[in-house]
Amino acid sequence: MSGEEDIARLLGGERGAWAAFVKRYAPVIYAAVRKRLVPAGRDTDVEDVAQDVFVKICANDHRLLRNYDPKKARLTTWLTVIASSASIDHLRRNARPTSSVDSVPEHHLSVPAKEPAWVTIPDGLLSPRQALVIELLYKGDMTAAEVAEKLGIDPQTVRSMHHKALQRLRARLADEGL
Amino acid sequence: MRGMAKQSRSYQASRYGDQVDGARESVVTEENFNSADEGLDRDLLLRAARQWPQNPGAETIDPLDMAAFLDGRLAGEERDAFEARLARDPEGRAVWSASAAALGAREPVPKSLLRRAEALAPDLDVERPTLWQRLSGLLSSPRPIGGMGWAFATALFLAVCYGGFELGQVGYMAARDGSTQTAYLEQLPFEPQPIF
Repeated sequence: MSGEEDIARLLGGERGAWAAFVKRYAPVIYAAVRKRLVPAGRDTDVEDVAQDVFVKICANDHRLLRNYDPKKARLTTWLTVIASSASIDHLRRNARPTSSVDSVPEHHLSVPAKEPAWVTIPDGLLSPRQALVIELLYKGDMTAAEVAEKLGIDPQTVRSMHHKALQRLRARLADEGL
Repeated sequence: MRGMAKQSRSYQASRYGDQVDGARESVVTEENFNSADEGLDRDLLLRAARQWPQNPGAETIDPLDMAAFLDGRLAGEERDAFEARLARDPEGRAVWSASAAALGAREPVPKSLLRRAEALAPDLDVERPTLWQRLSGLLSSPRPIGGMGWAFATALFLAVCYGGFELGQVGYMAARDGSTQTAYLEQLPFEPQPIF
C-alpha cells in the first residue's frame, strides 16, 4: 500500500487507519529522531520527541497530513524532514544546561567577545548553487567531498564552483575599491 | 549599496555552525581565520562581511519542498530557487543536513511509543473485538499451553471435582436423614404506648 493510500484511508476516517499508519511509519520517525538526538547526548528524549511528531500529525484533524502532496515527495522522506525538524527544535529549546554563575571559576567567565561576521552578498552575484556551496564550506564547516555527497555532485565540481564564486567575490570587492 | 542589501542574500563568514547542541561552536575571527583546507579564503569572506551590510532574514522552508529536494524531484528553476533559499537559511540547512543523514533509515520502535501514538486517535481508530470474536480467538489460539497452563487447568479441574463431591455428599446425607432445619421468625406483639 502506498503512502497516498495510507493517508487517504486516514483522512477518510477509516477504522484502524491511524493504528496502521503508526505501525508503518513509526520506524521512520523514530530513526530520524534518534539520529539527531543520540549524538547530542539526548537518548532519553527520543521517545518523547517522536511522540510529539505524532501529536503534530494528529493535531487539528490531521491538518499537517492534508498539506502533504504525494506528487512532490515520498511520504517517508517528508516524515523524515518533519521528524528531523522537530528534533532540532527540541535541541534548540533545551540547548544547554544552566548552572549558577557562582559555581563557575572566575577565569572561565572572562572570555573575550567574538562577534560572527555576516556577509551579505548582492543578489545575482553568485548562482544559487555557488551560494549554497560557499555556505556549506564556510559556515557548515564541511569539506568539498561532504558537500559533493550532500548535493549529489562530483567533488571536483564543488571545488570549481567554490573557485568561481571566490573569483566573483574578489572582482566585486575590487570594483568597490577593497 | 544599502538599497541593494534589502534584496540580497545573507552569509555568515564564521563557524557559528548548524550545530545546535553546543558540541562544536567555534567562531572564526581574524586570528584563526586562514585555513589551508580546501583552499578556503576566509579573509575574502571577512572583507565581504565588512563591505556589505547584514541581512540575516530568511523565509521558512516548507518541509514538502525540502522533501522534494531530498528526493531529487526539483529541477531547473525550482531547484535553483530552493538552493538559494537554503543558502540563506541556516536553520533550513540544519534540517536538510539531519534529514539527508536519516533518509531511508528505519529502527525498531519501543512498544510504549506505539501504544502512546496509537492512543492519540482512539475514537477514530481502535477496532474493538466483539465478545464472540474474543472467545473464538481464545479457542482458536495458536499458542500452545505451557507447563504452568496445564498445572493451573489440572488444579482447577480437581477443585471443581472436590467441590462437587462435597456438595453431593451433603445432599445425600440430608436426603437420608430426612431432617431439615427450619428457622422460625418470632412475631412480637406490637402495642402502641402513650407518648406522655
